Amino acid sequence: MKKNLFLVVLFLFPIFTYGELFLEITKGSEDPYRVAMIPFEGNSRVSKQLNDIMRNDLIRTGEFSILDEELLLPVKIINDELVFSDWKLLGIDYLVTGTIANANNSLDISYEIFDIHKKRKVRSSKVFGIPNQIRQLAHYTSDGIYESITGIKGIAATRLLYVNEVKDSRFISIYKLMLADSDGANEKVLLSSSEPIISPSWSPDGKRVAYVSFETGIAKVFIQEIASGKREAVLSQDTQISSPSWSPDGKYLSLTLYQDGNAEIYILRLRDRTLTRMTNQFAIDTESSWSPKGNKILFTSGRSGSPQIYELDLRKLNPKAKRISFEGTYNAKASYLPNEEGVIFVHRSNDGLFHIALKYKRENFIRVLTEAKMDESPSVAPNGNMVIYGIKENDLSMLAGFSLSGAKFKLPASDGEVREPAWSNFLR
Amino acid sequence: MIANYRYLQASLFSFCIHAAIFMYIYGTFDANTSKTLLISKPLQVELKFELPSEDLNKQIPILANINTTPSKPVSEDIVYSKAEDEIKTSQNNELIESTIANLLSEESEIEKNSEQQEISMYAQKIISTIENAWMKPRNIPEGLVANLRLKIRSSGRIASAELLKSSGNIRFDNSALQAVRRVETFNFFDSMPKTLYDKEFKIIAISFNPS
Amino acid sequence: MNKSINSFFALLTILIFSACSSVQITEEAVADQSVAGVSIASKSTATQAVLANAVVYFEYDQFNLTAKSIQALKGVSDLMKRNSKITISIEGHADERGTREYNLALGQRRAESVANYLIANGINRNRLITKSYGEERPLSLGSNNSAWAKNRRVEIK
Repeated sequence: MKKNLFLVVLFLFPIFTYGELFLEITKGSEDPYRVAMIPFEGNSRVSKQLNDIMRNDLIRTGEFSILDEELLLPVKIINDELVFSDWKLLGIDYLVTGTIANANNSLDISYEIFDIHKKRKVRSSKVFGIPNQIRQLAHYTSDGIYESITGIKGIAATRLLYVNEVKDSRFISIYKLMLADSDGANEKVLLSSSEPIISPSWSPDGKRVAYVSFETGIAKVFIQEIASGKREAVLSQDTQISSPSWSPDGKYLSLTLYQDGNAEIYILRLRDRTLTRMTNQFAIDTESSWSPKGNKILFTSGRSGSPQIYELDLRKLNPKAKRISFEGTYNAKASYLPNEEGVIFVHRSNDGLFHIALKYKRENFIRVLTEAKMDESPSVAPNGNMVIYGIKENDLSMLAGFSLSGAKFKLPASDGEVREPAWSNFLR
Repeated sequence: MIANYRYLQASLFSFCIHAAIFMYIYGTFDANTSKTLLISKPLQVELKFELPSEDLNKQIPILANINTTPSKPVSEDIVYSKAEDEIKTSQNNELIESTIANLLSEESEIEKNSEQQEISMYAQKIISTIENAWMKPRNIPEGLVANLRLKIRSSGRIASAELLKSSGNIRFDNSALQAVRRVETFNFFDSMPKTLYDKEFKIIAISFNPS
Repeated sequence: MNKSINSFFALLTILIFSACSSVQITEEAVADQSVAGVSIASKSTATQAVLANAVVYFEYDQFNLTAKSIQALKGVSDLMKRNSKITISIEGHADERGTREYNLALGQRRAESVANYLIANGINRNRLITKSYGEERPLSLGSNNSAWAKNRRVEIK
């Protein structure tokens, strides 16, 4: 064991900003809100950066089409009122304007949204912070615009966890657990290891992560505090543990233990590390995931002969697993939509290819949402409107995402491969 | 070196995205291109009227002017002439009264029918205008229904649209409201008789029901 | 060069330990898994050769032993009966298709199948350590049938 310690280099603190995942938007939506964004008044450099980030944020949602900058008209104000007719001719639904106040050590962004059809201002708002928070402030503004127009909470200000693997010239891998903004910017390394890292999972308050690390030679679950880098193994026993998932109140972690050689689901109470066994049968039970209200758990079980999705109702005294996937011979890694209206999971279709699929609770059929060959690890955004997952393109693993309304984007790594994404909760 | 290549890559991508957005906007601002899909689908938008209760008595004052009003459809002409014949030939008041009563109810029936036809025609136009402007969002659960209440001016301009009954799915509700916003004005309203407008089309309810 | 690297790592380790006293990276001796006696590393070359040859392969989605694998395991079984002190580590793997956690569990089932065979042949459970690497340690890179077949394996060390 001592030997392993010297081999494994651990960075415990979020030290550098590595670079960026480059966000490629590959498809827009079909019936977008048509929005014109006038670059905000103020420092032109700041304004441009803000504008670029907001455009990206809004286009990526799949619900917006942002008017190209070259087509922007000057904003005409007559008698204190905005002239709407020109914008109507361009087919614009909403106009966004704003100002940036950049004083000493503060950055204030005020913005206004005009409804071109109704011919009036529908929102006036402000975000403020400090200059080096500009990306975050831009995301808050995007979310404000998104929510005003659609009524849905925005996810531009949320964050992602994922695993990066880089192979050196001798094909030796370095694995890193990464944290980044939802657009791939501001990458931070949370853990660097010569052994694999899998299954990152956000705590509901966004302050901690749980993950599986093979640093001790076997799969073990660790919890790490993001701000301080402090980490600990969830159980001190030398036994294989994997597949961590936090309860919505942050007090429990569901896990997979292999006590009798067979993967079974347990719930760990973090306060006193007591374990409660939830499954007990001969087949594989793993990939547990809590419902947003905290009273149900989804998991993958092989008890019917092939991996399928099951649901456990924790409110019952003796919960019995209820099967909920019936199409196809491989359904796994399920998680609930935030409104619990349905589940997102990995589905293997008849041609043997793996895709991300959606099944609404009230319906008895599934909808396949992706098209590549080995799609995996889906994670749903907290507003239930977007999913990020892993794909393999040209033998290279990268992240991809889509909105339910049909937009698509990709997040390739700047170096090596990325996979196993996990989308945070709302962080504000 | 890598940094320079990255900048080149980044600016190439930026160009492609701008070009794509530019072409996207110019390509799809024309409302007619992507609508063939919707027309081939079965009726998804229904018109539900908040109909005032029928009041035959209202119609009688008009009918009292039968002889003087010139513009009536052919069938009513026939009825008129029949009535006149009957009145001329008949000497019995009771007979006349009952005949007139029958004629009156026939009259109102016919008027009602032709009015129904007119209502139906305008309703159909409203529905197809909105259907053409509506893009059903993807990946929504089946069986969703959203009801909107529209207040329309006599010019056909939609003064307001509000959600009467939410489908429970925000994207679906939004798509219904968006469709109505895009329509803005029902141009055919200027050919609608004012009376018909006042009675039936000031306030209407629309149900979006794609099943 | 080596000396300074070693001292650097030693320093780093000390820093890490002093900063996070709650971290438990070393193992505790606990019931099942840990074994007293001969450690895994010190096996004779001949023994290691036998074990290295005894790679067991599996069908897609399956964890049961084929006739061919049982042949390979006979050698291991005999070896262990001859040397009653040897403990072995049985490591299960899966190919990259499917989800990572399910593959981790599948690798474990494959390791258990091998362990169960040896137990049925009279080997004491105490001498067997099973573990899984799921799809994380592929032998063959590439996304094709031949690479996948090579990765669906159990290795014995």
